[in-house]
Amino acid sequence: MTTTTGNTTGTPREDLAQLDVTRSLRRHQREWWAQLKARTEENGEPFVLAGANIPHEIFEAMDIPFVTDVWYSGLVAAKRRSGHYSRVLDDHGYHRRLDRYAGLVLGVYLDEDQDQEKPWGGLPDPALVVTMPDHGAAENVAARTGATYLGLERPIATRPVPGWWELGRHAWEDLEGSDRVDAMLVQFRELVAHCERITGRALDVDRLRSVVALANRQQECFTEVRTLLSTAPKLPVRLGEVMSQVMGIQWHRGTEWAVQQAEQFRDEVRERVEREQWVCPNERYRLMYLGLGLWQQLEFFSRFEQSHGVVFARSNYLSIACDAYPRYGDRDPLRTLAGRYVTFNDYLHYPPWAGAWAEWESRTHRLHGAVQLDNGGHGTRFITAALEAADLPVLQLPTDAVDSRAWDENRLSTLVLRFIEQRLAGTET
Amino acid sequence: MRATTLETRYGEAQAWPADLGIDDTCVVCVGTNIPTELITASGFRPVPLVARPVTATPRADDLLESGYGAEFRSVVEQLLSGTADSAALVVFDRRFRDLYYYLRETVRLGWTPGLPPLHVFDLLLTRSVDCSAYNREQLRLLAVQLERSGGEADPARLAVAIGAANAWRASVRRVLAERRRGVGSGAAVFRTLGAARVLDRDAHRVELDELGDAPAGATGAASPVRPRAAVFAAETLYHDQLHTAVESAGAVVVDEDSEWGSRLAGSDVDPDTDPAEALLAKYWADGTGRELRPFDARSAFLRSVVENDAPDLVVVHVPPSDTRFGWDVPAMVRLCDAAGVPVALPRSDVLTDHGHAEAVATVARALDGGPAR
Repeated sequence: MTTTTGNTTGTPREDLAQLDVTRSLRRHQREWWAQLKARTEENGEPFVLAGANIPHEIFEAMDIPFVTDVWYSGLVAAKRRSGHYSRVLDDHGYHRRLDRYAGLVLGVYLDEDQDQEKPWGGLPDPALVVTMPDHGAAENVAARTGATYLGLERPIATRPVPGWWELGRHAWEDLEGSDRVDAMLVQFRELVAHCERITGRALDVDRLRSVVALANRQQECFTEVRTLLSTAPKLPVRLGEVMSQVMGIQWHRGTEWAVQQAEQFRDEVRERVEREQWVCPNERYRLMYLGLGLWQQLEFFSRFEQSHGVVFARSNYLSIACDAYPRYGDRDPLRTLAGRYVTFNDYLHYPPWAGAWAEWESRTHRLHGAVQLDNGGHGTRFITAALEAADLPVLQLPTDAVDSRAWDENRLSTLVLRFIEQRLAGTET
Repeated sequence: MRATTLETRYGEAQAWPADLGIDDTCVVCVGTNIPTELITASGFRPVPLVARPVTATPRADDLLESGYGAEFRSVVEQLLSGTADSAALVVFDRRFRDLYYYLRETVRLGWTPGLPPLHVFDLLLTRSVDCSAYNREQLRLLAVQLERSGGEADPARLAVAIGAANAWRASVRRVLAERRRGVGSGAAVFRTLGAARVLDRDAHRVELDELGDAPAGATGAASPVRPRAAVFAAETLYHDQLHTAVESAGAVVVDEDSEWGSRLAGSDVDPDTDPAEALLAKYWADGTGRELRPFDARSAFLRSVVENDAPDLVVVHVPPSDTRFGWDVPAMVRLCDAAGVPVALPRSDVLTDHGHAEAVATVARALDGGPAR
């Protein structure tokens, strides 16, 4: 039996919220969404549906309403609607093994019924859909809605540097290789051209430069948060709340509001550390979570606090915000963005980058183990190998980030409990 | 040699374990979006490393997550089994990016000391943005890597290689045109063409030309007219089991969207322009697979077949392991529906007896006008 929040055994998500910024984020999201709907559906302004690896700063600088497809999918999952929209996809001939993380958005567009039940009332029809890499679903959204589709390509990295996070902020041109940055830049220029066509406005490069600077400032605040979380004697904020806050702010990356919210987030975390307000006073084990966010069950990370003193101290979301987003270099902000995205996705998933990064973070966060999403995705074996070579035990969690059909609470809880009791026992702080 | 001999050579390309006869005069090619003329001109023999049907891939399973299908596992298993260890170089095309990343890491970690140098030819096939500058650089980098491996691109040898490849392509196109008449066995022709995996192009061309106009698989007696089928699949058609299923159901395969079938030749490399530009133009124009963007580009072959060749049936195979091709399938079906061409959608693993039988039944139902999706 499930509660209205979908939990079977744990505390409802609302009761797990500890930060005032969680409430201020939700208020802002509501206001922002109402404005977006008014602009697009009432005033007819063009709307862009974009992938997560697309420079939103361009849309922000050009004042184009936009939404990130996979982040909206996360919202669908958090609202416990992934099962419904997965069935919509099934009914339209998209078989069950196709990725739902990118696909749920297509399900929302395909569902002609129950518009009022769509998360946030559903999405406006886009004028432009742009993704990198091609998820497959996004192109179908464009075909369904009559939008232009632009699929961007990420050049393959042939000179990998495992310690990329230390070089990327300032030395990205050397790190990535100018030929690859050039290839990314020419595609971003094409994206700008599409945006200019649908809006009738030209990109103001100085405005873009300011937006990129604001985005960097926001990530600097996140870096301070990461330092607080990793160095505090115990964990001051739950992982689910950190992930939600980080991603909620990323939706508005490059705005003054996002910087202010990030500063407030940092300040609130700092205050909790100073007051020794810990998530789990009897903290014994600190774990990292690897993979796409468990948006359908963020409460899962809190499931083992009281019984076993387990906290999840690190996820990809805050860490990538700290290490892969900030890129400095004012001369050509579009080139700076190309330098950010040309290897961005590979850093998260592929060897040697992802494993080296995870291993480094396991040390900085003083971790005892890792739980990794096992949904058939890329690079997980190498991440596991890197961590286990550093004597960090890893549990593979066989589920999906958003697809509720893959969630078996009892099975997954049992796996984690066994992991804690059999592989972590004796390593506690 | 006769068709049956070419089919025998195709059988060699399916055998396991694989023996490609590789030595340090060879460059192994994983993927077909690679300008092999440049490899030949550098003094190397290009050797395709293609998936083979295999029931167990333990080495690959240690590296690859569950999202990777049989084709990738078979390729990785061959590489980790030492098939390419004696080669001068292994070149991957973009479609095999993940394998390039993974195997490069195994080398870095010291797990695979036997692997030769690895290179990726990262030809961007998008039609949405002009990436020709990057692609030109990729060709230069490939030439540099071939030189580092001990080869040396000779302009005269390049011209000869281009000429020989074009002559081979002409022979392939002739066989394909003959097959479209729908006489004989399309599966047999597919195997005949697939012998290119184990024969160099000159030898393959000679044998294709010796076939003359005799359709592969034809008995000489008058054959009943069978429905003509075009085949599309999620993975490279590295085996003939889908073809045999379609033909067991009563159709004849006249086209397939496969770089080892109807897409084997493509257009010629223009001998009258700068060789580098001509190579890039040809390989970009004839690129295959999901790296081709947008959907209009990926579906161009389907549209061409449906509009120009009027098949009686289109077969779209979506195996249980698929995680990407399925995004295109509903649009492919709509395209066929609009043209009034029936579609069969077998979803079973045709490499198993049960799956093969299911596929036969699905195609047979479609041929009978029944539900086949």
